[in-house]
Amino acid sequence: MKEIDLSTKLGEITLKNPVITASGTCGYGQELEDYMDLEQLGALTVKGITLQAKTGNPVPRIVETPAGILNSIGLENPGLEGFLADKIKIIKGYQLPVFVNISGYSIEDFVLLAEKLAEISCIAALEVNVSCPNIPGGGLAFGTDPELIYQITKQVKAAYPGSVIVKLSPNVTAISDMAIAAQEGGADIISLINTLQGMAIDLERQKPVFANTFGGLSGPAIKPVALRMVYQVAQKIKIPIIGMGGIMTGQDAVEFLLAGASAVAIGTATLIHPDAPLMIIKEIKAYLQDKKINNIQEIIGKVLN
Amino acid sequence: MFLEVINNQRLASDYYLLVTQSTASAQTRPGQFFHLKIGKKYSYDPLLRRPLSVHKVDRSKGRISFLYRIIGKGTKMLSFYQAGDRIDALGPLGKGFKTDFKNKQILVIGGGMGIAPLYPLVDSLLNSNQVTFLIGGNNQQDLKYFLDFPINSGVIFDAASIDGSIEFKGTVIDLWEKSYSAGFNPDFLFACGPKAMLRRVKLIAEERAIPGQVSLEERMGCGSGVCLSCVCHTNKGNQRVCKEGPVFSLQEVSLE
Repeated sequence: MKEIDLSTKLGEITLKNPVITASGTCGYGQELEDYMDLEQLGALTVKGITLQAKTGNPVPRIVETPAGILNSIGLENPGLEGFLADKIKIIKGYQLPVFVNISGYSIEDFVLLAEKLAEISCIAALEVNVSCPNIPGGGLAFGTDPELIYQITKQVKAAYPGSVIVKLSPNVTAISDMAIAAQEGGADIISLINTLQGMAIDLERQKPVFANTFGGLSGPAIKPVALRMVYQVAQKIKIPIIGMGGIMTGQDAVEFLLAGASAVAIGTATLIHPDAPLMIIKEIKAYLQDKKINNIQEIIGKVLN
Repeated sequence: MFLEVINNQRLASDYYLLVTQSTASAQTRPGQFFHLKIGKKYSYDPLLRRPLSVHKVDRSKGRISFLYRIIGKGTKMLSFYQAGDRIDALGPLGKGFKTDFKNKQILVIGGGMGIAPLYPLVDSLLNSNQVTFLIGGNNQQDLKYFLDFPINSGVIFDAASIDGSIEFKGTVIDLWEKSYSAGFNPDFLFACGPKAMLRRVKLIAEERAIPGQVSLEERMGCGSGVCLSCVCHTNKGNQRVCKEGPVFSLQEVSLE
């Protein structure tokens, strides 16, 4: 039998398979080296960075929900300076494409990050996080306003010569409008979806569990919502989509591909099974084998009208 | 890897002893933990793994035991596991206790479920050091298993209960202060237990300039160091309980 072709394209970027790690669930890669050969992944998206270092939110930062996780990490990261000093050398060691996720409190933050990272050749793409629900005054505020999404995307594109991914928030009423705004701003790729905003209450203290009150819901619980949004957006935009949200198995991943995603990102699954992305690659391959499909491109967007 | 259940036995009220067979027993160090996926293979509820600290290692038999208390869905489901069942586990994880001491006076203090991980530590220290092992809990019932646990005769062992149902009434810190502080200045101390207890240990240790280590508990996500859920503050900045911990220097860690 012919070798199955799992390769996929995200604009200018070719991935050997469609499986990517989601930002914030794989550190800078090296944390997972004990559990898997990272080079087998399609791409790696490293933990989000901000201009200034952030110590993140107080604990507790995580709560389990039925088939899901609420998190309120608060983007703990070493900041641009720490990233350049300590993390770039890790990324340089990889052969596979590495995406760097960036967050900011203002358009200027995003532009400054883009300018600085433009000088670094080992980064395959920037993922612009306009959707973090866990930082006050930032993130989510941008992701719910199409005009701001358009502005951020346009200005980051002007500052950064490489590929720009815009990661959208699901906490909106019309996701397609956000995706169109990013596309019009010049985005090369869309990531869909970030976490859904939720909350949990501590019955002993009779207070919200999180100091920040709200957290971001991820995991299998949000998969149907993510899938629906990918399906909707795929019908409205021409640029490729990285689908994510509760993908635990190869079957889940195939659903996203059928709905129009050109690649998928694995997040929560990796927190439970550190080698989950590799298992998912195997399961996607097994599905294609079973359906006698030699090229993964045949299933991408197959259920779209 | 998998842990195979040899025995999963109720000790008292909500307390259980889980004995497993594991190929990892040889490399498991005092203070480390395993991260257990409880439930059927494709079950998403509970979704996250549950960290359990190692209570006993029997290298000759290849066994690792855990003491746990039912506090939620995960531990409730764990209590239904029977001999022969297999548990998907990551581990041993984390950095364990410092154990390279010789001819030292060492104080080991445990409170509540925090007593459980101290046994492998005491075991590894007792041959070349003088170990004083003090434990405390709410009542005699909660401490029964520990009181019955065979302790090497070379170890000075004592216990306290808050309700006075065993002889010393008060916390384990009260026990230390009232019965074991006069003329006894340990070279090093170890502590595991509720945060309030650890705070008092830190305070006293700082007053008397006793170096030490504490083992912390925090709500944990991945156990592999990627999610940054279980951080604590130290004078080196944030550290991950699952990766740089769960054992931290008493002097460096903030317990606020």
